[in-house]
Amino acid sequence: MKQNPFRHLAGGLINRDKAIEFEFNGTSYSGFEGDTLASALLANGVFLTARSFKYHRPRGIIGAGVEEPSCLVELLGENAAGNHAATTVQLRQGLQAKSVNCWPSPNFDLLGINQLFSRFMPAGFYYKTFMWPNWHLFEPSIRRAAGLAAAPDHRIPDQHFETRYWYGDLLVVGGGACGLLAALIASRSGARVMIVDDHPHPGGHLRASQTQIDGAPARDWVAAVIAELDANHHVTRLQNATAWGYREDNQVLVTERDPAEAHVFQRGWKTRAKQVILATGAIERNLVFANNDRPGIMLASAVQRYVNEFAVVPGRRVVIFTNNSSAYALAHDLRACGMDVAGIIAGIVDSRPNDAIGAEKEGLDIPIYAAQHISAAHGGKRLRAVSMRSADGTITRLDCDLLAVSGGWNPAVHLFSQSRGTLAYDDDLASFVPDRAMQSVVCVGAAAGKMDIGPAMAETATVTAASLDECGFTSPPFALPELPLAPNYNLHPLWHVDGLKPGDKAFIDIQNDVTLDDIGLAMREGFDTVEHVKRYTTAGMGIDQGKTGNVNVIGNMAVASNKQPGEIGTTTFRSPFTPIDFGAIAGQRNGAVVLPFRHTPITKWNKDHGAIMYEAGARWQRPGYFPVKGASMQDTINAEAEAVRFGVGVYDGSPLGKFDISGRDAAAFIDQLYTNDFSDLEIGMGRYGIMLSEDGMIMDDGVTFKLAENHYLMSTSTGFADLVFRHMEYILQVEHPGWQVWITPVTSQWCNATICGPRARDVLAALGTSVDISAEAFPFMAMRDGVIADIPARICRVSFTGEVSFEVNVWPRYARAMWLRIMEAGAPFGIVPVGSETSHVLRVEKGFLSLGHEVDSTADPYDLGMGWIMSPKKTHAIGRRSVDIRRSSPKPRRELVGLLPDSNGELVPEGAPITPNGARIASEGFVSACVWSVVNKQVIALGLVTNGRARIGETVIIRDRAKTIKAIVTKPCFHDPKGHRLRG
Amino acid sequence: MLTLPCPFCGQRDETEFVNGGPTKPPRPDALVKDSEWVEWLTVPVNPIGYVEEKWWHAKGCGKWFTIKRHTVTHDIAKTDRTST
Repeated sequence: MKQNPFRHLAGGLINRDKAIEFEFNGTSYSGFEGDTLASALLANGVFLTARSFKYHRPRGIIGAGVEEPSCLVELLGENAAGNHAATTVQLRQGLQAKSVNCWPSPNFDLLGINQLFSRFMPAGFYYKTFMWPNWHLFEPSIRRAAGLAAAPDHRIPDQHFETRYWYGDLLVVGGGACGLLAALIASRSGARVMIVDDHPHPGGHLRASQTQIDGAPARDWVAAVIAELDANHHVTRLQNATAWGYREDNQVLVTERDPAEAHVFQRGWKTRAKQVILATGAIERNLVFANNDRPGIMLASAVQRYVNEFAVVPGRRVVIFTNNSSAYALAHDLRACGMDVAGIIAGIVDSRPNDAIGAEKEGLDIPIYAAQHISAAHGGKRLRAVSMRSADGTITRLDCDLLAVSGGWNPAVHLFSQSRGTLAYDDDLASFVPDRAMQSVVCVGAAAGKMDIGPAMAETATVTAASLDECGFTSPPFALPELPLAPNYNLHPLWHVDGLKPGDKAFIDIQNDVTLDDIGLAMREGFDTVEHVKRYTTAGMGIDQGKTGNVNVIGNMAVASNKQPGEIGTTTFRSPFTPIDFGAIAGQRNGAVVLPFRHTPITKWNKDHGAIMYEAGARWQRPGYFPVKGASMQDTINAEAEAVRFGVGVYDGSPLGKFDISGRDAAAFIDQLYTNDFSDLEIGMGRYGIMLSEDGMIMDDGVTFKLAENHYLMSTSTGFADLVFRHMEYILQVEHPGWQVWITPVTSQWCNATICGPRARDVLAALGTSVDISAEAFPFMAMRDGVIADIPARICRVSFTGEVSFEVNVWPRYARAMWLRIMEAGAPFGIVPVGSETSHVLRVEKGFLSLGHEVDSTADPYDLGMGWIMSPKKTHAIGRRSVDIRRSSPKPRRELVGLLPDSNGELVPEGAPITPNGARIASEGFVSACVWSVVNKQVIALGLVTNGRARIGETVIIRDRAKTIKAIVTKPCFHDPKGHRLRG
Repeated sequence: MLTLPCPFCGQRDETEFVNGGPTKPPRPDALVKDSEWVEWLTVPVNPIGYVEEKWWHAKGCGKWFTIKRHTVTHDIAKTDRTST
């Protein structure tokens, strides 16, 4: 294979025996196992990798991990995914990726023309410019130009997401020096420990530096710790796992990428530990000067990681610009591998290491330019040089193709802040550190603002002991590893370099193209709090959430307003810490896995007979209709409906909610639930009732039969059975704990086949039954227990179709047998199975109400023309008082009416608004249901219309998008208004 | 995501429960003034601090119970086996 031009021949933690081929923006490259996409691109000399969000400026790779603000890629192929930072994508064989924000390529980007107009596009530009007539007119094309990656359009083949739970004593987040130490100490105490680390390999910053522990390379210490942790079965260690959310009661959400099991793509972990230790480290921030976004300008910590972990030096001649002491280690590492370091620019206020060891490092033969700033970077698609300006204004030019910058370190307080812990501004660090914890959580190491590794590890040991004590374990005696003395972290804040020339851009938020000027403009326009500045300028938004820029925003707001950064404060840290795949949040909770479908014993028969299955509510699967070959859906539904109206049909009514209610106070209980009177109901008879919620709106309806003294069988709508159950339990347990009432849900204990139509009685007779089914002996709304076709059954005479109906209830074990016998006995009468489409047609013809159509939590019984159901003597029924108050208002109500649309036989969409004169103004009602009526041979509809009952005979106008449809208002019943047929 | 102390089943995940809102005073007599009824119906307490509220252990024992929960810290000060 070809040698990578920017890869050193030795060093690094990559596996040089295993080359990996990959593709970026259509070109093939090779890297090594252990590379990230970013390190492999840099090794190959691909420095121009992206175009910026708003101005389409050329951009390169800036960071080395989750902080990366610039190089976002879209992964193609089988594992397609959008908007990944190239620095967090592990290289694998055959990886295909492309830049997200340019067309056709980052090198030749047609949208780069935005750069020419950039001075006309300040903060708030879109808000100010695209207001008239309507932002939504412009939004689609602006979104396309500022586009992020497209969402993948297919599932990942042969792999899935899954979810696991973990409950334990101590969770350690972060696998750097302090995290590993905390986990090691805890593991020796016998506690159940989990340690999660978002890198593929443990070690954190130790992997990116040449730190020595116990007199040997730090990786030896890391390896020994890992070996001990992995041998301890109380310890769960996750690599490639990001803790991204901190919720109540110490719940920490973790996404593990590429777990050991090949069939698992990602695994979401929901962890709850008694104590959490956050060893999340710190993130380096940028420096703000003219053209600080040119490809070739990178974070010093990132360069150090590329050098030490990947043996990549992404340039030939390096300059370092720093306001703190941490970047001097990079100079040392670069010199150690023979790089040409042109100089270290140490800032006007000197930030050189302030102790002996630092001075020794200065002995590296690298020029240190104290009392100098970088005033500007030069070069377009690649950095060529920087201009250095001293305190007296002298400008010196330094040629270089790589500039490593360090603006100081921000403790990664994201999770701590999500846990609602408070933050405090630390003057020495010029950043925010954890202050007061609100849950059982503590930060250690750089996350706690302890930037020097020796003291940080010593404190970690103490903190871990305290955490173990909190969860009931004793910390074992522990000898700290030996660390060489290192220079103290030392920083002088430099929020920006003064003296920008007009037209110069100094970026604060590189991902969102927010400049120093934008922050100033926002503040001059009156957006003077950090949350407002964020929203007006978009600084801190997007994929990286401002990990390298946010504190610079705060610092520069402080400078502009003459305040302390602590007074400005931070914006809210929200989860997720890094972008998370939706799939990892959902896990297996996908479709029927999370909420299984409910089936009746007839489902198989239905499917065998070609039924198109619908959901009938509450996950119940019911046939929608039974397609007939060669017939349209409408013709099929018409034929089913005609069978019921003129012959006989049967449907599977099993999903209907059913509750067995018994006990001494059952009658009083039912009396309170329903608005109408049940006190005179006879044994063996049923009554239709409406249940109201406390605010006087209809909650549910159904028929309740009296089985015996103090024993009732209540039916509810399919979709609301669970809600009604909760309501009833609340009334009983909270309001009437002294009542003796038992509620047993029996929905699945009774299946029913409802035989309906003028020939229904003939079918029942043909089946053979012990019950006298004559109209005189078995009236409408009665129920009888008996035997049908040798099967014990309970028969109820209710009707949701308007025809004679017998609801044949049997135990589930007999349901299929009963169904087959009904089909056999009904064959001579032309019985057909009907689906929910037909049920809908039949109930609309009758004007029977349906929950979710006419009943939408805004209607009371009067609105639906059912004032008769409000018994005048039942002032105590739930919802009654609220209805009365509402009715005493003169405000007009929407009332249920029938509608005859003039639509040339076409159905009107359900939900279509009815507006005064059809104008595009506030509606005066809507179409709740619309069907082709087989008895009227025309389109009929139900609707709720303001003052509808007084407007019968008038014409109203329905809006269907661009069209208008006239409709005549009628009474809400189109078939057998007196109900002779259903009683027959 | 909270965990809640069901007085019958112990500490369980919030997903097992249904929140029933803050405890309401008993439903007023049907004859009270409209304004009193509307106040009872539409104005729940919403303190910054401890609130007494109802939860239903829907995916557990099926019991309604009462807890006192701090609306800012989520600290649960008291759990009551009785549902009223």
